Amino acid sequence: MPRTRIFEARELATGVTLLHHRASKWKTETVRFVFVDRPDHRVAARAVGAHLLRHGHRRCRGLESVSRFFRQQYGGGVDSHVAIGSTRHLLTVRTNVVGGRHLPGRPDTLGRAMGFVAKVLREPWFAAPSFDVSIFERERANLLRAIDAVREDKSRWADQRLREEMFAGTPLAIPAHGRREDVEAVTLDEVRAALEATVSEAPILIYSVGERDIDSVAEAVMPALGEVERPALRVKKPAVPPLRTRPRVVSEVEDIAQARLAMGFRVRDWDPKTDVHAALFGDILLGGGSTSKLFKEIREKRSLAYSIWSSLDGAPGALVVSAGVDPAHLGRVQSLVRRQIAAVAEGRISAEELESARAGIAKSLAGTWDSPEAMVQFDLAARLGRRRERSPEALLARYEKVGVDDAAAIFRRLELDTVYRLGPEKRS
Amino acid sequence: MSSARAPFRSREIVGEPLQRATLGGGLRLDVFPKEGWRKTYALLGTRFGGIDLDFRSSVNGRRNRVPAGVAHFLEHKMFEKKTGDVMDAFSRLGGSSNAMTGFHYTGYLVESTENTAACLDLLCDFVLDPWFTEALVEKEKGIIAEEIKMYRDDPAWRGFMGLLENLYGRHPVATDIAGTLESIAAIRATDLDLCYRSFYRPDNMFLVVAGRCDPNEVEDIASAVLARHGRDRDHTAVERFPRAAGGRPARRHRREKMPVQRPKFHLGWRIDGEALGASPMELEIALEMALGYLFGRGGPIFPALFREGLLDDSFGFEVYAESDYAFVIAAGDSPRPEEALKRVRAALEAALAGELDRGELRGMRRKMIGDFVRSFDSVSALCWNSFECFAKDADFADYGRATRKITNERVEELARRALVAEFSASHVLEPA
Repeated sequence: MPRTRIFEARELATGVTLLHHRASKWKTETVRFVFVDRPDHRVAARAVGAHLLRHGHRRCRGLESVSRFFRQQYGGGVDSHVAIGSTRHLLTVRTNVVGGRHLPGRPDTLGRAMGFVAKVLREPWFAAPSFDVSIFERERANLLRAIDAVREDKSRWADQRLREEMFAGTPLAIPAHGRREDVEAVTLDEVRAALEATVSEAPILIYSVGERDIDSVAEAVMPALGEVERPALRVKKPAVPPLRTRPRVVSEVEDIAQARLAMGFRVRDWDPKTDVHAALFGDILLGGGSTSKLFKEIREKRSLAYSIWSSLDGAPGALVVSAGVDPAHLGRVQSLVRRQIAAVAEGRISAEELESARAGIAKSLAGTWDSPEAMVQFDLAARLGRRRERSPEALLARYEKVGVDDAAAIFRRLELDTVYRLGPEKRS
Repeated sequence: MSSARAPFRSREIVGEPLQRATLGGGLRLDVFPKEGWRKTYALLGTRFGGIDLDFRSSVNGRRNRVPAGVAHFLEHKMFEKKTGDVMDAFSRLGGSSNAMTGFHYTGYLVESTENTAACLDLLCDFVLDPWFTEALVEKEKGIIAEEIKMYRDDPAWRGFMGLLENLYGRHPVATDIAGTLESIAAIRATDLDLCYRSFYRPDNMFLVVAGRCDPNEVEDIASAVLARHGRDRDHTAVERFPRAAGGRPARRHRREKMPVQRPKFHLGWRIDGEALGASPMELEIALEMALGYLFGRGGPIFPALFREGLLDDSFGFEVYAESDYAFVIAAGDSPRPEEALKRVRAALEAALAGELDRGELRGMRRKMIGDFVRSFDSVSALCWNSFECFAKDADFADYGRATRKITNERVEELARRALVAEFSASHVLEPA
């Protein structure tokens, strides 16, 4: 299998990279602008701004008009949102439409959608004096609702609280939408300024997937770009708090039926360049699916949980184990988790576990090619995580060089940092 | 083997081939071979779900009432074989497998990029050849209990089930698909065996495969597994005892408290599709089209209530139009949920009293055709949409054509007759 890159890259200007994948196997065509900014004091303003971009541009104002415009293009639309990518705060503006050749009359759906996106980025309605300020109030309330929705999803909430505790005082602790109090305090002028700065000055990765050639995509996206010079994309190592000398336990009380457990570990002397592949391999062996150690031991063998998994954040070198368990079994599950981590650290991996992990990685990477979303996420993770492998095959080849000993060596450097427990009664 | 092959009937939908055959025992097979794809997605499912709690079966010749949650429990236990956990076998092959139980169906899937034939063989084999023991059934109860508790803590699920209880009372639709802690405690291996033999009959099942695959090879594998377990000669007969789909709600309104950040409302309509003279597919298309416009971001209801702060981004609706029941649910967060309910109801009634905007309906029709075409970009969506249509005795291949053909007058008529205040109920979740 050729180890080609997924995207053909073209520098349109300093800090503006067009990444195009040409293929005709999909019915839809997608273009997304990813503005790569810092997780600074403007996070909350950027998040509100992402909501406001959906209200269109100066000549197509409001949800009604935007919605009507896209219904005429056989659905799709403009979606804008913020996310954390490695150590960066990302503003994504995306349009996805059905390709005209699959529709009656062969309309130029992508051309029209791109024209719309360009206007939204250059002349957003919310930046105009005519903008209805009450919409700002409503969209800020919408974002607060989204923040509350995380609070209501116990599993996501436990993971967020763990992260806040582990990385307190650093940008790593800030959620993608900002803190509640920051969103409450943000003003329309601050949102306008933050969006103006991000859209005009932040480095951009423009991802495009569809049947057009790269020249025609470059031509279509140019009107969306301003004249202001942007810096080239650079990703730095995050500032992380020092390792704790003793793990911290945070217990919070809520009247819920199932307790949530989130255990955060840090890798001592973490160096993403040399450690990340072995750490991810160890993460898959520990809690990466239905054949992982956590799933087998805690769910299948002992019936103590319905959901249990682990995940690795490669930027700070943090491994998180998450589970929903009966409140009476919290302590037992914690100790079983530590036992499974010790098993990986000691290299106690059966041939079957190894085979399953390797086959799972191969399947997951090969499947990247069938999903535009997965292709974008793969490339974005590589660029923001400073990973050299730019194709699924190259990454697979890298994983094939990782052995059980490598994963064990990383796991021997794991230190329990924080335990977060959410449940119906307080436990010390 | 090719001489014994059932003939494929070929169709083309949005420029893509669909190969269809009926295999031994009546198993229906749809294959969507897709050029240039690396993934293969296969789904084997049966028309047996959470609502099937009362049936007569030729397996024991009796009318049977089984504990709530039995279909979901059976789904969990199917993955265990004498030889070990089926998940492990899939993992070794590089496939990932899962399953889902709905109100009226259970589906098993495998997704693979390598060893596709072996993964398909394993999928058919484990679903068509079950193995249950009392010890393993007992062990699973702890896992399912945790799953039930997880859903209990989920406000969206609590609100949804609260509304269904108001709409349907003791009808099985209002029973949690996973059952209750009490009902699953009563489940025995013999219940699973009875349900399996009654409902996992090839003539009640559907296999759909999409992605990188050869339809002839798919058929050969499925036929060989059917023959291996003697399932191509399965002649079990089952009579279900469904309750009345239509009727007035059991309760108009109820408030409930739970630890939520914001109040939530659910508004629903209980619909008798048969009385409306509409097939499940026609009803679904008509209501999706009408409500997509009426409840949509650009429609006559949302923008005004959004500006007033009564509705926000969480507002949405879902249409459930099945063979045995149909309902519509609209739900969202609101600081004043009772007022939001009142205003949404009143605005909907006012909109349906007049003629729906023809230009907006044309736009919705286009959007739905676009969504149908879009679904071909995901092999999982293609398989699940096909299976869900099968489960309601409809054909996914007809969906695009039916969307184009339904008239505006019919859309209006069905919306007016289905979304009637008399058959509506509501539910509110308040912060504890």
